[in-house]
Amino acid sequence: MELRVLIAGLLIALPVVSLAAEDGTPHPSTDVFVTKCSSCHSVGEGDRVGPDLKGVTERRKPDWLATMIKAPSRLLDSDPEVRALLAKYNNVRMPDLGLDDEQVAGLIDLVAHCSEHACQLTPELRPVTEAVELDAAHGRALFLGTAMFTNGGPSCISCHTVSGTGAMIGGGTLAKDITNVFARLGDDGLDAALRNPSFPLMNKVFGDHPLSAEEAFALRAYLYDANRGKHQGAGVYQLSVPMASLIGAIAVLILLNTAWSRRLRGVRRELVRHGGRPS
Amino acid sequence: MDVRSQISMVFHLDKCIGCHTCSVACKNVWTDRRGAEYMWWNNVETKPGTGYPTKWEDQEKYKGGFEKKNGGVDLRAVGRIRGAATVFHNPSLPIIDDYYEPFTYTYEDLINAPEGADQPVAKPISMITGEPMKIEAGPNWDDDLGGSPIYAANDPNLDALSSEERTALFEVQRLVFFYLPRICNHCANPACVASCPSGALYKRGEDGIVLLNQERCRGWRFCVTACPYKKTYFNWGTGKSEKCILCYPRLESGQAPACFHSCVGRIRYLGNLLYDADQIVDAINRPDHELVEAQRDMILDPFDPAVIAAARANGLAPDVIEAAQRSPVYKFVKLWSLALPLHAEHRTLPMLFYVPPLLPMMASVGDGIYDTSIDQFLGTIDSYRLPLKYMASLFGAGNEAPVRHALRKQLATRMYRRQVTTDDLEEANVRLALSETDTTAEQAEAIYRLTSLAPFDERFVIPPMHREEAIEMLGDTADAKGLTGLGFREGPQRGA
Repeated sequence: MELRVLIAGLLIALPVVSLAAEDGTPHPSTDVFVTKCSSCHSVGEGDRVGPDLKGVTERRKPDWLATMIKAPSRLLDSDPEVRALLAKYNNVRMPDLGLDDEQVAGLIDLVAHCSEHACQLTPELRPVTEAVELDAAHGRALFLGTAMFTNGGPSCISCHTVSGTGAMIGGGTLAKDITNVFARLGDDGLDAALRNPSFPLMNKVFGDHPLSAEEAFALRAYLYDANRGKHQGAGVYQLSVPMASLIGAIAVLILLNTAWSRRLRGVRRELVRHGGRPS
Repeated sequence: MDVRSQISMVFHLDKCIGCHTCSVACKNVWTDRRGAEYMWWNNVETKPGTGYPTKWEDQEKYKGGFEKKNGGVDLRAVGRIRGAATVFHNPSLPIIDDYYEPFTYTYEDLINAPEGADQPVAKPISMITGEPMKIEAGPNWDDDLGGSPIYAANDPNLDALSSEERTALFEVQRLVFFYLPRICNHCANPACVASCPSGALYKRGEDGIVLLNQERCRGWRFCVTACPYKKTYFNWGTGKSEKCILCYPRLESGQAPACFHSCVGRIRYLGNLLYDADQIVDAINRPDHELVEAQRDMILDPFDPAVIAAARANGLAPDVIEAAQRSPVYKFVKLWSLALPLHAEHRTLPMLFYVPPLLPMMASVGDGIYDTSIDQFLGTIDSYRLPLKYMASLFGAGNEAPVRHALRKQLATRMYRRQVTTDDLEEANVRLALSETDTTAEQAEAIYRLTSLAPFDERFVIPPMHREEAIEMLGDTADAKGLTGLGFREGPQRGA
């Protein structure tokens, strides 16, 4: 009993302790890094979706770094080195994050600082391997929108699809099929993408309606299962939207044709067919 | 009192021989065009019969005319839900087969066919598709009871009869029919005008002719449904509807309409009536059996000084009022109560009136003998070959009284004339027949004259149209001064 209380106390105290590393105050750009960068990058904790940024301020010129942070789209296609990196990191393109010059300078300073001192730049993460069936089921409900996000964000299915959702007409086609997103982003990356999405559109949609850690965990559990193909085959009846529309339209036409079937039958032809007896 | 002038018609059915000259005259003048081939603005149908289009009187199917509902009178075919559900999909329209698919023959094959062992033949082809077709129907397919068990037996007016009466009607020895020529009735309360969503249909103020503006028509075809007589037609070539215009260009130049002018039986009469438009609402709200009387009550006496003053105050020209005084229609409809509206129960106040045919029993067959001796000259109304109930369904909105009166008055007139010419009837009987129908000897003479002897200008009293006044209402005629007259249709060619 006492041991458990001790462990719990340590767990709660841990982030406070690490954030207060060194002189006790985190670097002023930590928040920016956590929301905008940490979903793909770490400083000294190894590669995630994108490369580890430790020591990058020494390897690259500040101008290049500033451009890369501020508007990566300018370099992604033109700079051969960046293209090589892109190929290395699964062709996941770094989005333009909409940062101003001040924030960019702060981030460069943070990377330089944290390359030498240990910083706490990612929130604590509950690994998806801890998830049980129930979590994945909750995640599926959140994905489909049968359960609501606490902060009122729209359900994933509005834009995304996962093969084998079990939903009649499948998910949305506005954004990527995220069946294998777990493989692309990894557990950390996925958590960050869910809670602090740096993709411009998702950022806009979820900026004011962030997901809670529990919701992100449930979704990760669901997407982890999806990635492993656990749901394959569950979507036997899954139809594309155009196909469903077509079938619906045909059904409506058949209904109308039945309802108004007497419309063009005429009078004389019926009379003659019935030999003059009232039909 | 809101006095208006209406050009009105009487068809004397006792004189119609079913020759279709009227129809052909109309067809040649107005509907011999692409898209209008199937239209017969004037048609003649055999009664009993289903007519043209087939069973047009069956409003269960076609939803024409007005009916009493919600404490008032409204179009049978409208309603918020019904209207919205059928706006693009009207189920109450006749299809082309109900009129008939118009056809012609490949006459040129008779001349141009290559030499062969057989005579060349002119094949029937559709005037719509141009393809060879099998002719299955026509606008007078049941003429003279042709196809009787199919067409005549399904006349909706026979519903008024008991099944014994119906059976008796189709015994070979008793077979009976008459002709019913029909044109647009130019109703005082036209359902077509009421139904048109585009405002294309209108009733001319000066003479009550109902016209359809070809520039306003959007082809909704609500008028086709709404007209209980099915006298508006959809032109598939122009995508607009058309109807009888009562030959107004002829009327405006003082000529009778083509169908009137050409009628060989001289059954048609035309003249204007003065009527009180204030009474329309009351007249159409009456129960069915009062409708004929209510419509007759709307018609005003053109000799009444109060009516004349009100008519003058309403802008009617003196010569229009004078024409109404000479109108043969006024005499047949109002003075003599001989002419009756067709299917008044649809509450459109049709302004074409019919003198119902007598159809007396003239002989009987018994023991193999064809016996032409009869007890009484022309028999009694109730023994006539078409039951009164049937006639009442057509001309009395179900009420036998006005039809009985019209038939008895005709009979009295005939008895009177028989007495005058051959003097072989009991004088007391003749006098009784006249007095029972409020007919004086002078009136009987007048009826006889207008029925049998009337020349052209007594049958057609066409009021002056005063188009000059109508035109002045629409614009300043001085605008066109000096712009009309003779000119060159093509520029003169000079030199070579």
